[in-house]
Amino acid sequence: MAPFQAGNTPQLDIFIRGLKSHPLEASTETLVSLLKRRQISGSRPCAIAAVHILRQVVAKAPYRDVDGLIAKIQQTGQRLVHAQPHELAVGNIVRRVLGLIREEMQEDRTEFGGDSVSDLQTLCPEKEKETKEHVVGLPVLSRAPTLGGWSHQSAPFSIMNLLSPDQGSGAGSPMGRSGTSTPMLHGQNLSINNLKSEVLDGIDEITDELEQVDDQIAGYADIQIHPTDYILVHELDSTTERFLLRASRERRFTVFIAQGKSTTSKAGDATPSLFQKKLNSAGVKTINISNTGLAAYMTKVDKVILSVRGVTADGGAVAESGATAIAQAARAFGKPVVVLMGMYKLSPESTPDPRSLVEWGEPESFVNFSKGNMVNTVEVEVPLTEFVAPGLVDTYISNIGVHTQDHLPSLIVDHYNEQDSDFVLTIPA
Amino acid sequence: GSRPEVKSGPREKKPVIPECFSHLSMAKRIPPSQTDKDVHPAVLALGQQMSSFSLTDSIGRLQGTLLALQKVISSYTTPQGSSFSRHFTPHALNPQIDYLSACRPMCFCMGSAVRWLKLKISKIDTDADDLEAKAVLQEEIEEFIMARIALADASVVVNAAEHIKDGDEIITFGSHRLVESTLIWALKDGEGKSFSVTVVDDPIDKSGLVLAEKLSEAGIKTKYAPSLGGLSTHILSPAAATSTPRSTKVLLGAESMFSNGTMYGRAGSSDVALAAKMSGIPVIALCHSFSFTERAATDSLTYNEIDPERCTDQEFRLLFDVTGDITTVVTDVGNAPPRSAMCVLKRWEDI
Repeated sequence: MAPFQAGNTPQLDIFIRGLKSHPLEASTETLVSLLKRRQISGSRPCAIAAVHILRQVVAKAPYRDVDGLIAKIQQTGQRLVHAQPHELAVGNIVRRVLGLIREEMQEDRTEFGGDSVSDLQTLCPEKEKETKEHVVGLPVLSRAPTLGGWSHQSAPFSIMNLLSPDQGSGAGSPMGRSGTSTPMLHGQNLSINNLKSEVLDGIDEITDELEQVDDQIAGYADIQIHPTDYILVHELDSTTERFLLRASRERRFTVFIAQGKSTTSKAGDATPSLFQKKLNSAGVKTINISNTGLAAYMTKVDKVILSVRGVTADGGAVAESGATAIAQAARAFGKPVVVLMGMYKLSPESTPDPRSLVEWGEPESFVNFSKGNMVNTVEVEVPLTEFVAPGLVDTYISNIGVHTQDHLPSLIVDHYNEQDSDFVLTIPA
Repeated sequence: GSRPEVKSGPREKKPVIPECFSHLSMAKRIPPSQTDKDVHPAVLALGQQMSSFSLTDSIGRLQGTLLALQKVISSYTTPQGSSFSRHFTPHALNPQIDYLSACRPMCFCMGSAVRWLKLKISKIDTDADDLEAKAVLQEEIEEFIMARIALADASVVVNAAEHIKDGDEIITFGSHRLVESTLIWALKDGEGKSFSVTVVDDPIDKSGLVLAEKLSEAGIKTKYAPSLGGLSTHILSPAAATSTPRSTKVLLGAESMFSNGTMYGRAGSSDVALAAKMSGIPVIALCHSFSFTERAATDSLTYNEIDPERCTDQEFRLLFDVTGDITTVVTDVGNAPPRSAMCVLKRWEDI
């Protein structure tokens, strides 16, 4: 996880600094290996890296038309997702950029079409696109809308969208930019250059969103955390830290910090983190709990905050291992479970098999391999992450508001284009 | 008993107990130089073992206490002008008990055993001489260890092994002597009975690792999960897409059973029981009838113990928890639903 002040991990900073001077393909290759080696890890650093490389694709890659650009983004996107399949955020960012391009394209074509192309095509943009692909010679992209996020709405407009505030989350709601008009320029080159600059602007807005997301989520801290509360947090990430620190400005409460991973360390080794020192100096008590199960503490806990890597369309959460046990205990004791998620963590995918998203760890840290008979006969499974079932989370707090499970589909419609739901499976030309 | 503040213990750091847990007890190391002069050497050694957690399981501690008290009894002489039954308890027995409970809070079965012993002492005729009184007590304790511990162990194991059927996928948490013996007995006694075991462990305690090793050496197909991570999603009821069979039973060793039917167990047991309940898998608790207590606890913070090794401003850990999600309790006097804990309690009190 990224330390919350620096924002980025050193590897990520080096990568971003090198983007300008290196050719696109070299940068892509570097990022793929950084992701594979988990040298860039954590959902936000991964998302930031993805948005930076996609910006380079838009700016540098050779393409003649919009479909060429979409294909390029899909190609790069697939490589990134395959490099780090456990971070939903990577695929989400790719879909956001694809959605951005499609939206600009639609605006462009609507205006362009009204002027010169036949009315039939304008009225039926889907058909127009297919005809065009056919002419250019690209294979027809498979766009089976199979995923759960698209359950009932596929129109770009929704009530959620109309009410969502534009300020601070411009990129968060694509419609925020619908006022920008594309000048009616004829000729492919001018048009594509125009589209490019529009898309680059849009990508920059996503970058800004990623910078601000923790701060925006922290804005809801006062409402959620009450004086004298006992808050149980599982695995701290930058979002949770910021959230608690913001609450500590106004409130005196107690934080139970459940540390699944650090419990493998020896007793007495731990030193207080900078985050804890800050909380303590603000008058907030912190208690680090080294128990593996936390049901014992639930009678005392008022609220559980889970740090998650990603949220699926049906409301399930990919979280550090141990989160399900905590969420189940909270459910059994009637304590609310809150998930803090930047919009970049919300994926339009639903996961039928919870195992597929799980990242597995090395058993060596738990079982000494000098014990030969253990190695040969005992099967050891060490999940690093696990899938928290949808029903176990009560509230999702994102940078644009507080949501329940039922709100997620409309958020997905607002942020992604249905055509990009399964871009990972799409085979580009 | 209250003692002067320990100045230079083996730990340099002073334990920090958060206010919301300040009502809970904690083991502490008492340097031999600061102990009561009346503490018997055997009890002194036992106390050190308990406070250093080299002897942890409740039945082991109970047995150790009884054996040490046998030594205390045999080396005791009633002073002139007093009788054994009047003098022994306040002047010889109580200092031992005070010392032991200062080293580590007594487990419920130890408390029951001490009360039982005091009752036996009070029943000794005041005219009986030392030799006679000691012989009676030694025999009582001998019988207690045989009947209430050794035989009870065997009965629990035989009763519990009957619950293990061919093809079962058993989940257990940490290690418990009754669970270990039950699994090994079920393998040896049951002809052609084939079952597999997944040992879920506490990554700090790691006692489950030792159990997993023993089980696999005994020839049981064993899996090991170092923590509760993935318990519900992979171990208890894996998704249909995978070939891993769904587990069929959870076997937990109980530290004690409360009269309201809740189980006092190693910290983490309640999480395992809860996850099993949510997956619709029965939870079987193994417990000596002597470990049943007339106390009641609905939550884990009523009775508990703080880990003395992890009680700093950077770490905190509880040693036990309480769960109400038990399906069946297997005891040496038979199987019982947890709600009937009171009946089990009555049965041993009558004996």
